[in-house]
Amino acid sequence: MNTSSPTLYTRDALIAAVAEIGDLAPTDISGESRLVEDLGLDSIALAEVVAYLIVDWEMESVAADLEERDWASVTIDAICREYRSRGRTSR
Amino acid sequence: MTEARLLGGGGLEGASTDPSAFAPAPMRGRHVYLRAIVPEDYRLLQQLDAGELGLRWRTRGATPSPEQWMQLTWNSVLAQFVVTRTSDRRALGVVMAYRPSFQDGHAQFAVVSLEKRRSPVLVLGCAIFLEYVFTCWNFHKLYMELPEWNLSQFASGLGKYFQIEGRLRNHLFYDGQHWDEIIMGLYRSTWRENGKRLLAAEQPGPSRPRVPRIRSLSTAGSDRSWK
Repeated sequence: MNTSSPTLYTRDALIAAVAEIGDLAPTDISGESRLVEDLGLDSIALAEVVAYLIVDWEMESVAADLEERDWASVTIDAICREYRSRGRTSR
Repeated sequence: MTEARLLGGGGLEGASTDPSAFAPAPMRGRHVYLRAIVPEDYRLLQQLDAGELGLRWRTRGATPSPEQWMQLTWNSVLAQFVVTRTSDRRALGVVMAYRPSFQDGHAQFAVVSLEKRRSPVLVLGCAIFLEYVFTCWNFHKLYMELPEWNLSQFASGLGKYFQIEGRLRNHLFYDGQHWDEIIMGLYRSTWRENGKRLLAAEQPGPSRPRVPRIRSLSTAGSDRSWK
């Protein structure tokens, strides 16, 4: 997990965080992995991923439509694309 | 709701004699808030108890009379709220603290989802409720008693928020077999440390505090070897 570098917000960092939260092996997670349907995150883990994105990645878009989003089919890559589209590839 | 209160500024560790230090216990976040259960909720809750939810948890297949159901709903309850979505006031679940022991400093905690969809929002509501309970009462831990068949719903919280403290073997019967009853403990100290990120996510951006990086989540003391 690339937590030693606090400035990089990359797909690898997200995979590492999801692996840690979900007690999964990072090698079992890819960009196409869906948080619930493929990785099987339960509600607590899903909430922790959401909190991680809101608090650590400062993704206000996640906070803004948290309730409407279909989290079951959201993928790692979709989150990263959304992050980049906000112009926040690093901070 | 102040930042300090939402992030656990109250309790003995934050004791102060300054009257201005008082702040209401948290009941509202960005996405969810806690509201009292009112008689208009009874019909929905009673219907749920008569369905799958009842089989899984409280009534276990029985259909108590309205009077008995009322007793079941309120008996030994210390605090009970409907977790409500801010955007449309939709009821997402019920959270409760019950059977308190003020002498020994613990109580039972339960959460019931009113929706089948897996949503992180109810968990954020639980976070607000846990902070509320630890703010209002000097409990050092909360217990959750759950049938073995419900354990998977809390799997990722084991070792991080809860630890298994007891197991009543073959305690429950359902569908031709006996199941264990699991007793999990959630300690105030563990919650105050590991619940920070969930609580911070419920705060608006400008007032959101820094929380420890995800690697520094401390463990609740148990491993996950049960998995």
